[in-house]
Amino acid sequence: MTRTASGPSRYGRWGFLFCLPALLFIAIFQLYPVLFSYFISLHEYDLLSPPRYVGFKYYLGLASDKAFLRSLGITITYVVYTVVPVLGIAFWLGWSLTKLGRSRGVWRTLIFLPSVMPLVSVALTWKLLLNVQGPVNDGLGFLGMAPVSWLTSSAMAPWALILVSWWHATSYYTIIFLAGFLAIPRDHYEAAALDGARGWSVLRHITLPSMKPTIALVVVLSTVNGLKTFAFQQIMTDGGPAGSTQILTLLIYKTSFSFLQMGKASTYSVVLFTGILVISLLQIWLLRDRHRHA
Amino acid sequence: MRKFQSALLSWALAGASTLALAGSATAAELTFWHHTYPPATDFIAKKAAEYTAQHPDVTIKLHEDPHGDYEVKLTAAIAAGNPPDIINVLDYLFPQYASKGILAPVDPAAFGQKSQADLEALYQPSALSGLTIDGKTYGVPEEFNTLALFLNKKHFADIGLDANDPANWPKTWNDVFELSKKLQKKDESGKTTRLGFNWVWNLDPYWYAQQYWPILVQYGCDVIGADGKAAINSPACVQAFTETWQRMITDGTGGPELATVNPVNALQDFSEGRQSMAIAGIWAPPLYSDEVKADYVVAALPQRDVAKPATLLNSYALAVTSGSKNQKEAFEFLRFLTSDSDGYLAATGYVTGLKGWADTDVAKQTRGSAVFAEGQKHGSFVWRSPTWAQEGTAIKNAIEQFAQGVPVQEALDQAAAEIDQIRAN
Amino acid sequence: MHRSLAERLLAIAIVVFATVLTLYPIVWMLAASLKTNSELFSGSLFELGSAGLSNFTSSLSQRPFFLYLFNSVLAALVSVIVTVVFGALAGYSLAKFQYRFSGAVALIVLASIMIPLEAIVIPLFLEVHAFGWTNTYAALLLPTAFNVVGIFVFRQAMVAIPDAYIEAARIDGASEPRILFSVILPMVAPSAVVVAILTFNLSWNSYLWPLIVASDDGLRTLPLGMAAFQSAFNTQYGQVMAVSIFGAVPTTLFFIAFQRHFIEGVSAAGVK
Repeated sequence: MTRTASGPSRYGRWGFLFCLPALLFIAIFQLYPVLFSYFISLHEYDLLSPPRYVGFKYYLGLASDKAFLRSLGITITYVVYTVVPVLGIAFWLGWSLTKLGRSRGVWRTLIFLPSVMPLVSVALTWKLLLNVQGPVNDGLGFLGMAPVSWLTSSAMAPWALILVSWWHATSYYTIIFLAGFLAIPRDHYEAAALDGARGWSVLRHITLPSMKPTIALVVVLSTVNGLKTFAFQQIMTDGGPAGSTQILTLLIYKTSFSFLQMGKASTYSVVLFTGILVISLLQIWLLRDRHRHA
Repeated sequence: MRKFQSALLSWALAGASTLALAGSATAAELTFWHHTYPPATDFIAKKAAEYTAQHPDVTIKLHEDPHGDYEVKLTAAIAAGNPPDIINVLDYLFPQYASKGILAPVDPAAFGQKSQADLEALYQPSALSGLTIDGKTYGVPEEFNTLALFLNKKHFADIGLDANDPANWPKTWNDVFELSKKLQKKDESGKTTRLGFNWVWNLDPYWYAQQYWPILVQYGCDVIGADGKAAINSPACVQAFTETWQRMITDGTGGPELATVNPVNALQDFSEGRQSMAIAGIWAPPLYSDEVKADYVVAALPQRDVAKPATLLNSYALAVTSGSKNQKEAFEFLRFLTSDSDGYLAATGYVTGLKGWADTDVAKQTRGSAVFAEGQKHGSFVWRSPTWAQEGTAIKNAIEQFAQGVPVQEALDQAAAEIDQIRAN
Repeated sequence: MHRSLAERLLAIAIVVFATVLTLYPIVWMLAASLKTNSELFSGSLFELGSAGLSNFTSSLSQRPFFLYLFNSVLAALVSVIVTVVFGALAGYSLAKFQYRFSGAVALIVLASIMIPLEAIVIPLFLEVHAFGWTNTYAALLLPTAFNVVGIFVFRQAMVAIPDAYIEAARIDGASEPRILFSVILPMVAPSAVVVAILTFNLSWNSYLWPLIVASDDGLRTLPLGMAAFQSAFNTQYGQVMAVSIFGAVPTTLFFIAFQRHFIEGVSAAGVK
């Protein structure tokens, strides 16, 4: 099977036409603002008065900008620790759902519920639940454990947010994995059973290869959502205590709107965009690789 | 069904007004943005209707968003060159806004005065000082606040004290902390069910500043020294934070871990009767739950040295933007609005700062007005800086650090270094 | 036989355990919506609150929540339509065509998926203001309407369709748009449902953009109404939760109505 239906010559023009409306939208409402950010990053701009050109001042300051470096680290930690475990949890949960009979529809609706609740209220609810004197610690106390300073300790708060993101994201990706498992043709398993394969070997030789595209989809979506995360941090901790949960989007937001340093905030944004570009290239590579196997 | 109908109707009306916007605006329509505080926005809407009845060519379009979000939205509107005519601005933002030419200087004539001096004479001493930059006043107070200590009468009665008797009020910070130990209640499991007192936690830098500023003044601590360098790590400041903020945590009577976490309302615990004492302004009581509303007493803000009292002044002020095409009308409406001192106090708990506000019948019926009037005489505004938000954040971070056990000196050293770096740029 | 029974019991145990964890905060929200504040902080989860439905009636009458609901639904539907239509077109283009800049287009699309709104909100606002859209439905609805993830999901689904279908249609003389609409789209209909659900949820939670562009109460969406309501007074958590549940109803119904298709749709997107 060839990768494309047509060479560049005959039908490529159609391909471009089909892409055009989407590209126009992206160009007007995303690309232009992104390019504008590059422009602003070379200026001192407080939003109240016109921008003033300062060259690469903000870029040169990045290496010694503690708030930025710290935020970068917090963001990377957050993305890694949300993507990897959620991938595992959602995978196993989706697999378990396939083993259920008729009741599956009910379970998957229940498990999907966190994704349909308004984000703002979910974040507020977790803030109350994770209060030092709140219900979660009451539960731990019941099990004989000491209360945890979930949101009031700089060491703990990043983990509290990661745990909440597991709760929120697992719900969504489990459903995607479930769909992936259900789409694996039954005869693959039957053939494997005839060959005497069982347990681990079925997983390795049948399930995992068939699930590869779904895994790729989930990796892309969860990385995206991890990098873009904002509401949980803003509502639950506002980046605190003492800046320990200040992810990059929140730092950019505060630098523009509270500190009115749009030039600096744009510099942070540009770094983020560049990182995004690199990740995108990696993903294209990942997707290409996939098709070769197909 | 009725509610649904009225919702539909309000939607239809809102749609109509959106359409009307597109048409040519006749006479003056003043856009007025305010932070969300229903008693105030209801009061302003009422006054606006009165004003339009008197001046049919002037209409006022009021819009509100929650504090925090409100400032974000306002900044975006200013950046787009399209700010509303009248805005609601916290005093610490005035240096920045005024220096960038966002705000129009107050026209004394619109207030029926001949000169700047006459305008100032309408107000209490220093009421306009926080809004005045280089001799020009850029706004008028909607609230000219100071702080007091609110007490829960029932809780005091529990430990055998009559909170109505000023002799039982805690006078110094030490009194507050000693009393806190007596007022604190725990259940069998050791969980605190009632706090004596607590600072605000987990809120924005200005909330923290409102509470530590009077203490810093009382201890002779300067945030910024005379040389323009950060002085927040000076011995006086370390002592101030150690003996007040830090003390609650070492005593086990307060701190972030004992507070009910809440994103917007600093006074949740006091409001609901889980805390016996709280620092707040005269605007606070409308926020209290009904039980606490019936039971609160207003005491003077505690001091380090009662003979040398110091409190905070702050002002969520009203200003007219320099981009407004209807500045004259806007100032005239502001005069009409803010001159109703009694109306403001009764409806919203705001003190407009006009001379003699505390002498009216309405003020005398307002619990604690005498305490607030006295406090206003000893207050000062927080430090002024064009980079206030960053400096405030550095101090907020220091507080959150020592609340977790980092030595106060070390946390403040870090804040001082950050402030110096901010100022160097 | 024993093996699969054990496997099944393990699976049930995992699902039940996960569901309990998943539901705990949601049950808490439901319970809270029936409680007064003091009950919320003292009583146990399972004690029924004394507030009854009063939290719902009192909160929903304080602000024009039905108007906010209308705006939110409108924004979500516009976003869904724009994303499904443009996403399907572009997804098809990326899945089945090669042209001069197709690599660059793919890169732009993938990168756009990841750009957080917080980073571009000011330039976007300045731009929309320059269009003269201040305080209009256009400003509220259009700039954030297109969810670029949609392209990605469609592409994944369409790439799985054998090229033979397209070639056969071409031999029959079908035009390119016709191939897309009559041959390809019906085959990826479930993916359209995935995109719709994803986009509906995203739009439903949108906060920063509506905040900045809506200067008229008539343009407010549900999350803005909720935030304004939440900060208004001494926070009445019961009422906040009541409003939240009100706000979750449309998304829940949307999911339940489409969940069968959703499951098939995701599988089409995820698996070749």
